[in-house]
Amino acid sequence: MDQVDFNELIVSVTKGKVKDVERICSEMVNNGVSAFLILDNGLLAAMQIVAQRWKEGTVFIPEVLIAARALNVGLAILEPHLVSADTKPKVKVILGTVKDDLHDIGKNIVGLMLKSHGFECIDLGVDVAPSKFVEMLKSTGANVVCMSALLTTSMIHFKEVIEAINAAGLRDNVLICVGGAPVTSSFAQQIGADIFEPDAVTFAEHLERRLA
Amino acid sequence: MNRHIIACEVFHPYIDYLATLFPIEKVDYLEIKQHDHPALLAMLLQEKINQIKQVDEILILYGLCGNAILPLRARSIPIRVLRVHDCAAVLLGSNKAYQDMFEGKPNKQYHCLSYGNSEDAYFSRTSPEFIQIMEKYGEDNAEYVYKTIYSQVVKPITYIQFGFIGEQEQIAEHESGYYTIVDGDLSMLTKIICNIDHSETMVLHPGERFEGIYDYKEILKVIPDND
Repeated sequence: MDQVDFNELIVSVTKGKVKDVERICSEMVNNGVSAFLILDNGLLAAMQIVAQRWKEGTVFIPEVLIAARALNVGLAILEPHLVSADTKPKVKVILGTVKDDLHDIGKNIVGLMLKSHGFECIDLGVDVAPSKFVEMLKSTGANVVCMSALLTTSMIHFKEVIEAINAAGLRDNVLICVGGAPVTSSFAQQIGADIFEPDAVTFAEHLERRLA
Repeated sequence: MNRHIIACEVFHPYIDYLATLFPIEKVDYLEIKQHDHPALLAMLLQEKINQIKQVDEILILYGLCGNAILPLRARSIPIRVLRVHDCAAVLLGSNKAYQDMFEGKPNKQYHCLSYGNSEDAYFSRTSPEFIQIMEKYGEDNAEYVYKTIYSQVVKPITYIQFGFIGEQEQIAEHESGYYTIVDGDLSMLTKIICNIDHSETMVLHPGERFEGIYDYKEILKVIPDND
């Protein structure tokens, strides 16, 4: 097969051109280009560019959201082909905003970023009770849990979730991640979380490295 | 006592009102809603703190406010902060009133006169951010970002009213059911700003730092700064 040019796909993702992403991914798949190649050299390469721009402060949350949305449209086209290629199962991640907190922008951005890094996200939504996190960890077999809180009044519930995971005997097999605007590295350490990063882009990269 | 007061703009109309009743020092205000960016707010506060000289105390009318006060350090002058999660406790009159109002309730959004239209400002459909994104990435993408950002506005929002001019107009701008109206109480703000009672404040001296407790009673504490 001739060398595949991913430039148009990369530009379309970074500019949030959803229809173009859909068309290019479909054409590439139909032309026999490996779904893995499209994912790595097209979609993920584009997201890396956006992530880098975000770190440099040249783009902001809206641009990250727009690119992540376009990436996920492309991913939906690739997914059936990624499965049929006998790939190893995706790492399942449970996501949720803790009890007494309805803020979900940060959690949703984390979800988009994790999906774009190839994780399977099980989003429990907002105001999630500790028992729900445990129940879903058990029923899905996930071994990563990501909790979010935006309010200082709800941060206290992180610890309750960790205690519930401990009590259920799951702690050794579960990586616990916390995030949200008021959360700090020292607080994360203090409550016994495994991973904290101040933003979704860095977090997704961190989790990928950790599980590599 | 010779004090320098730094406050969030949220308190501006209420302090102006209190200043008609009591002698109050000049207040140095910071823009409202900076708690959305705690690290930036901490930096702004610390910059101000570092510039202040020749007073006995710096009164900072901020509470945890997204943990923005945790990085603060007193240089040579003690810093007094509000022992509250956020301004709603002050506007409701006490931590007890705040706890009664919000504990166990997921929807803790509130609004008051000084919030004005700031809740809607970022990425509202008429904001420069929305227009810029629409021009650059198309209306569909701008709408997507708008919906993603505003999916979290859950009604009703608690509106803390004091009977000030402008409140009824603000309330009337929204449909019925958008707000739950509650009466505010300026007693806590009055006690603190008039130096009467500091039971709901906390003082930081050089060599110390704040640590969050995050409950509804103690909220934060002061510990030695060993860093």
